[in-house]
Amino acid sequence: MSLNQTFATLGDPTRFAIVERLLQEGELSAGRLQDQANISAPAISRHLKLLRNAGVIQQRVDAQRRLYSVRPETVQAIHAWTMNYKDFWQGSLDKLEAVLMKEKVNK
Amino acid sequence: MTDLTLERHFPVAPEVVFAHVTKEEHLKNWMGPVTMTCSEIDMELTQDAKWFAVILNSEGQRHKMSGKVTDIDPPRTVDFTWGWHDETDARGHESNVRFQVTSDGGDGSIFKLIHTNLPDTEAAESHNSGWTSTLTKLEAMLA
Repeated sequence: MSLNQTFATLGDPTRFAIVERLLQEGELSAGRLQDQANISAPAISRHLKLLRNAGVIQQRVDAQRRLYSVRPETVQAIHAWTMNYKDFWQGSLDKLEAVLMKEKVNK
Repeated sequence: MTDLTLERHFPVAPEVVFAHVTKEEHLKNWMGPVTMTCSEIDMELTQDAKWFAVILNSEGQRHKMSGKVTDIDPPRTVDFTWGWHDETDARGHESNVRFQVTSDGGDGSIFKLIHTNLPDTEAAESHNSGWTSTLTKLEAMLA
């Protein structure tokens, strides 16, 4: 699943709020999500379906209930994407500097 | 597209710096942020060849990157392409890196790192400030 699609899906405020809530509270049923979002059942299931199709959340069936949670793989993909190039190189060059200082001392 | 340029002064000769930024035996010791370690590497920037490296963070998550050397002029410059791989090993946006070493006029060297054609992150940053707190939560979830 591409991150483009992930971010496009999260661009909607209701879906963003659903994901935030799942991150904070963990696995929740559609009913629980609907209580706070203050929207209709058909609307919440449409949002949940879009989030599932985009790979952002996953569904588990427990007896009569469908439980939703955020997919860890997606969280990891976002995490990797946000790795900042500047931080990456600054950190790398700090290490390189340490290696070269040692090199100089050993000479 | 955005560019990134970093410059450092090192108290050793350009030849020494160049060896450290092009040879696998040295690259594996410094590639990646302080909190991450290089777990796999095939990266000889001394020749026209493909390279790849994998770095691990403290939670053991893998970040793979790869590319190929496009130009080399020892002991001054080396140019290579750069792309991160996602969790399905698909390679993302390709950018370009140049390592450039010059003498500081004395015994030391000036090292310049120029990373060009980076994806424009402005859209993501201006998206809304909510991202920051959400990303903090995402990180907490990963911890």
